[in-house]
Amino acid sequence: MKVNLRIWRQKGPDAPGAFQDFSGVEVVPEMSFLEMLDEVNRDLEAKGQEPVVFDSDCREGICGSCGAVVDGTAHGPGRQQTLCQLHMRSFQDGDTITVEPWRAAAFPVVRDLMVDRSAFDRIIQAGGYVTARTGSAPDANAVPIGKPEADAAFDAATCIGCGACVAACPNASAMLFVSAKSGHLGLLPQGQPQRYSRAEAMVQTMDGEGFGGCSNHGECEAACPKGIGVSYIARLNRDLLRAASGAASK
Amino acid sequence: MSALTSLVRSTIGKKVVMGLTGLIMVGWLVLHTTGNLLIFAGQDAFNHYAHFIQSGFGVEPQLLWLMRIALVIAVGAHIWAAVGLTARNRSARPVAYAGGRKDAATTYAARFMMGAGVVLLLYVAFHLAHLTVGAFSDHPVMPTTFSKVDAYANLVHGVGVPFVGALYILANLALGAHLYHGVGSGLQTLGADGPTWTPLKARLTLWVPLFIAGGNLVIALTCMFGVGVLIDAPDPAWVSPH
Ligand code: FES
Repeated sequence: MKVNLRIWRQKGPDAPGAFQDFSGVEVVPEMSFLEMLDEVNRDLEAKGQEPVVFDSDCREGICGSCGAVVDGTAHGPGRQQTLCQLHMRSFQDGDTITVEPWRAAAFPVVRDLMVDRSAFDRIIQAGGYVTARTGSAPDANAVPIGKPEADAAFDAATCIGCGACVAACPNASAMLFVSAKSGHLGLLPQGQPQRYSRAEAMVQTMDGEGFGGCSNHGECEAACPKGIGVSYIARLNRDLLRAASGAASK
Repeated sequence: MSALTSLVRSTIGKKVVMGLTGLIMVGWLVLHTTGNLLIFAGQDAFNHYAHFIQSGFGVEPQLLWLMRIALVIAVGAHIWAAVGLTARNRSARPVAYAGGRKDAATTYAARFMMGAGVVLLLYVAFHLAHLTVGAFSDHPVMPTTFSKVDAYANLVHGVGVPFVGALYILANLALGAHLYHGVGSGLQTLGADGPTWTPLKARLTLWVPLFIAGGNLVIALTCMFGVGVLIDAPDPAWVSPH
């Protein structure tokens, strides 16, 4: 099958960008989207042209490196998958596919489809950790944790930090990411001592990085490859309100 | 920095202000619509109710002003938060998606919050001039003399004018849309979520706008088409409750 591609090309963060058209690109349905891009790059290199720059690492949906907005949707059509898990069988012969990078002030374009997501790293540095010495992994039954809490913490912890939530949000808000990261620690006993200061510090850093505010559109939840829900956002807000009201220090 | 200061300064603080002031206004709107529905109980009952409000809920006339000031503060804070957040949200994505971004979960109501908000602000100004101040007495907008005692006649004659009625209908459609997103969003921002709240929130999201906007729409349509059928035409000689 053949597809037409419109891929965003941009030489650097401040350089103007534009779509480059590739028509009649030969693909097989079994190819992943990134393998398709690899083929495009092989052709470009053969012609002595600059390949399309994009991030990827594990190519199995666990590392969070890949990501682009395909036909207006972060990580492309289909729910709960990363760009590397998208396959060409999701498209029809003759389709024109538009590919562009995450768009957010906090995620400047490095080149082509690659964006700088170190704003996420700085949010993690602000509070996405536990300072208590926890030693080596304890016996699973040493600290009893209820099944609902364990499940909720685990679901939040599946966040791979890909940034699709920001890319999909009409406001480029990072609330789903921040709420998942503060939630997964805040739900577990080890995370309790810093539960409220963590939430505050992460939100402060998030705001400082220039992300937008949450308007509860729910686009983040729909785009999240791990299906993390907006319930975590409500939970983060509860933590902040509890801290602000003084109820958390009692 | 205390947790309170840092919350107030954050985007979430603005959202909390938005949610709290919004819910205050929603509570007030529920009462306002309930009162309006007394139009179906007749001229006596409706004017009696209007008098009860004007007299400061039968307690102290100043109470009415207290309520008005509280509402003005709520509206002002709501707008302050909305303007600040909208500006921030715009600057958070300075370069739009060149190929467009597809909505997967949000609603038209949510996307139209700012637009509906502006429509509602203009409408509130008109509505106050129309039926509280009586600025259009003996005017095409209100063809009869605005009466200080006969709120029933003011409402029925005032909203009965086709283009005025149409304005009320449009404004209440905008109100319904604004509430459809606002009620659920406000509760979510305030952290209302979980086994109890999530289903309740879904119900409130539907029923609160249906009651408020739907109730007002029924009243506007009744003033336009139902006088003499659903409600009595105002008695011009009405002075005080019989
Ligand atoms: S490359 Fe690791 S998630 Fe896609």
